[in-house]
Order: sequence, then C-alpha cells, then structure tokens
Amino acid sequence: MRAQYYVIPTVALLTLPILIYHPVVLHIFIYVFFYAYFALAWAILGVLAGQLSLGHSVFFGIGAYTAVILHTRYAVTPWASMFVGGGLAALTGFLLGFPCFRLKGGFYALATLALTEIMRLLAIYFVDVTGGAEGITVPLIGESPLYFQFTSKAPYYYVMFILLVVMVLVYHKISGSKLGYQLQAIREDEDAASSLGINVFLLKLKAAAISAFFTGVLGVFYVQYTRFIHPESAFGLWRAAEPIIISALGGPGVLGPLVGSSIITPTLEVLVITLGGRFATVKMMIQGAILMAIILKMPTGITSPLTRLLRKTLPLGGKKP
Amino acid sequence: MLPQILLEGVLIGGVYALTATGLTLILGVMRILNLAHGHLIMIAMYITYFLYTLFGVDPFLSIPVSAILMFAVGMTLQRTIVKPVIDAPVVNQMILMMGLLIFLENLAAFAWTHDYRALKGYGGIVYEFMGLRVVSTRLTAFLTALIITLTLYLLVMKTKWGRALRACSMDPEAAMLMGVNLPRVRAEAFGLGIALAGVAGSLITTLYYIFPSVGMHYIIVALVIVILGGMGNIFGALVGGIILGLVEVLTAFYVSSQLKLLGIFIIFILLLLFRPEGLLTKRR
Repeated sequence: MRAQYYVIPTVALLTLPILIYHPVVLHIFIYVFFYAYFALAWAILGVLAGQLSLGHSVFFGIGAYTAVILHTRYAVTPWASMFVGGGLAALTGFLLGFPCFRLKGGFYALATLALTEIMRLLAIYFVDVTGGAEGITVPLIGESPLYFQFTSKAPYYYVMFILLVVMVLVYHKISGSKLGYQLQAIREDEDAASSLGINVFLLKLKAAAISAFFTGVLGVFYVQYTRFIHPESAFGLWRAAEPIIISALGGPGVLGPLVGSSIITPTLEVLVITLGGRFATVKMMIQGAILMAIILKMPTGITSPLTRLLRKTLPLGGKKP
Repeated sequence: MLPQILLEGVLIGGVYALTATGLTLILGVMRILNLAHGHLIMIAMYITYFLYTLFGVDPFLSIPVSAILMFAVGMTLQRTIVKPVIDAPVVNQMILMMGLLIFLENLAAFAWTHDYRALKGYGGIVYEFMGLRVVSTRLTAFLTALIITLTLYLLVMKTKWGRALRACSMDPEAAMLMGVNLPRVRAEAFGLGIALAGVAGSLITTLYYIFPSVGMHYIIVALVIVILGGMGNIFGALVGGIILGLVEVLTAFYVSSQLKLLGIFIIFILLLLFRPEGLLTKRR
C-alpha cells in the first residue's frame, strides 16, 4: 500500500485533540482505538493462526488486575505493569494452550471460555486481593505522568493511539514474516503444515502467547483510563465477545479491525451515552445479535465489500493494496 | 459426612447428565457444538419459575410444558440460524453460538433483571435411611433424569427413528442415499436436544438459584461431561454426569461452594492432557 494511505490519517489523528478537545469526542476516539487494538491482538491468534479464543477477557483481566494490585499494594508504576501484566497474560495463554493445542478442533475456544468464567469466580472469591465482586479502584492522585494518570483525556488519547500504532505494526510485521506464513499454513491445513516440517504445536503456543501479551497490555491501559476494574468488566462474557465482534465485522487483515471498530464502537458508545445505564443489557443483546447477523449474512466481514464499493464509486485506481 | 456428600453428588450428577445428553445428541447428529445450551437451560428455568410463581405449577409437572416450549424454540433456532451454518467452518459456528449465548443472557437480564430467584416455599420431605438424609425433591429430580436419559437411550438405540439418527451421525451422505430425510432428522434432533435442555432446566430449578448468567455454569458442566463420556454417547453422558456431580460437591465441601466450577475445570484440563478421547472410548 502506498505511503499516503498511512501518513494522512496518522497526521490527522495526531492533530485531532488539538483541534477538538471535547471530552466525549476524545472518549469515543479512545474507544475506537481501544477496540481496534483489542481485535488486532485477538486476530493474531484467532485470524492469523485460525485458533479461536472465546475468552480473551482472561488475558485482558489479568493485565488489568495486575496493574491495579501492583499499584495499590507495592506502588509499582502502571507503565512497568504493562510488561508484568502482559507477561503474566502471555504465560497464561501459553499454559492454557499446552493441553489444547496438541489436539485438533476447538478445544482452545472451550478452554478460554471456561477459564474466563473461572477467573471471574476467583476474582469474586479472593476478596482480600481483588476487592471481590465490588471491584477495585485505582487511587486518584491527580495529574501524574509517572503513575499513568492524567486529568484530561488528551494524554490517554495519545497513549492509546501509540499503542494502536504499535499493534498495527506488530500485526503487519508478523503477517508478512515467516511466522505469519507458517501460522497461515496451520490455519489452512494442520496436517499439511506439519508434513512440511512446521512445528504446529509450538507455533500455536507462540501465537497464543503474543496475542495474550498484547491483550494484557490493553488491560493495563483500560484500568488506568477508567480507574476501576471488577470481575464483570474484566472477565465478563461481553468483554470476551468484543474483539470477536470487531474482528468478525471488520474482516481479516490489519484493515479489518480498524474498519470494524470505526463502525461499531461510535454507534454503541453514542447509544450508551444517550440512553444511560439501563441500556447496558440492551447494548449486549445488540452485540449478540450483531455477531449472529455477521456470521449469517456477511461471514467474510464488511471490509472487502466496502472497499469494492469504494473502488467502484471513487476513482481511486491502482491495484489491490 | 463423606457418604452424605457423595450421595448428594450422585443425585446432582444424574441431573447434570441430562444437561449433557441434549448437547451430545446435537453434536453427534449435526456436528454443531451448541455453546448456548446452558443458556437455553436458563430460559427453561425461568419458564419453570414463572409457571410455579404465577400459576402454582409444581416444577416436576411443568416438565412437559418446558419441554414442548423449548422444542419449539429449538425448531425455530434450527430453521433461522443453525441450518445456514451447518456446512460452515467450525469457527463460524462457534462465533454464531457465542452470539446466541450473549443474546440470550442479556435478553433474560433485560426482561427479568440480574436478581437471584428461587422457588419460594418449595421444598421436599427429608427421608432418613441408614444415617443418610435424602431430600425428596432431589431424589425425584435424579430419578426423573435417569428415566428420561434411559428413554432417550432406547429411542436412539431401538427405534427406526433412532437408527436413522445414528445413520446421519455416522455418515450423512450414505444415510441420505438410503432414503433418510437428512434435513428433517437433523431438525428433529436439534429440537429434541433443546427439549432435553428444557427438561434439565425444569429439574435444576428445584436444586439451584435462577439468574441470567447461570447458563455459563451448565454449559461448562455439559461440555466437560461430553468430553468425559465421549461425543454422541448417551451412556457416557450419564457416567460423566455422575463423576462431575461428585467432583462438584467435593470441591464445594473441601474448597468453597463459590469455586465449585474450579474442580470441574481442573478435570477438563486433565482430560485434555491425558484422555482427550474420553474415559469410555477405547484407545486406538
């Protein structure tokens, strides 16, 4: 793809907080980046390697809880927790993959789905560490770059933007590398991949660990941004479903999650802001319905029909990106 | 104390077996893993709950009602969302079912709130037998589950319809060539599987609280039972159900009743590590 496709949007998004500093607008943009990142991290395992995870909330929640516990108990800065939380998430992804990836079929999907429920129960049970069902709040210390706390939204915007850029680059790098091609081979046909000398088991574990690491890092961002985490927002089913919805709607590739998040996140956020808390369950009902509708009506995602449409209507020219 | 706990485990296990028979039936015939099975059980629990609180219907008498209603739900689901993905990749099927599960849970939360409910004023008589105490409702639930599982076993193994069903699960194309109406058998199997979820739901209301996210518990239990007993194996589901019932009560007793799923999860991981083909399947 040519450089202007990247440079123009990047510059536009970098200058956005200077031009528009309305908190709601920035908030929505932060969440657009957030979900695009989440879906990309999920897609390293779910799309590139073709190993479905129905519980990436496990890794997200581990990151979030690690940051807040290290912060409140040991005064560790969340910036460092990004690596600790990400590392713990990666370790969990690796260990969970160990019993599942030797077997064919969707065992990893079932194991992650079960583990997210177990983690939710554990987070409720260990009240002393996690604050139980009530959750745990990041202490307010005001403007403190060292402790990843800001009084305005713009710094969070830039942090999330940088995280997204890193995620896009990582995803791009992996999908074009030897690892990426090997993962694609595994996705298409495990037996064939294995007969070509690809260590299927090890590479699946690798993909799971990378995917989990970046998801854990996102959990740290989330808890710093919202300053609150509880079992439901860390390990809830809807959290598990979010990256799947964005990725399924957007479709494969780097572009998919970006497009998917740009469409779905503002719509849902605006609905939540205008309709209030009572709407939370309806929002999740809609998310479930969207998930079913995508699989039934548009299993390859929205991006490829959308680009085809754009290419027809706009004189973009050129070859396929 | 221990014999008492083990007895409780067996009684609950019988009902758990029933949650898995529906799942394993659908998996065997349609090759679709119904991840929303637990949440359909949850819907049946609400049906039973409202029949009891609004009309005073005994949960055991509401079994036919919830079975028929859930059969209708199953047929509708199969026609609208399951049939189109029957040949789709497994990943798509799982995502679709995940969507259904989230939809159902939040539908229930929206309609009936997140509150925990129980059948108020419903309880059984306590029998004493050789120092063991048995609550009559638990015993009835266990026996009902056993009878239904046995009936299903006979239906699948001894009737003409059952033979068609097994043929479809072994080799759909050959079954079709032999004159089996494949789409119809699949639809009926799905409906029956969901009806079994309905029966299980009615029985569970006598044992446990009713709330929207309770479905997660039962889908995990049912999945592990299916892996334990072997796919499509009704007898295996019964054995697996009783094993998990025992694991659950022992975890609840020795660890914490809040963490009873933890024991089941550990069994799940151990199974994947050492016997992914199930306990009853012979090793090749």
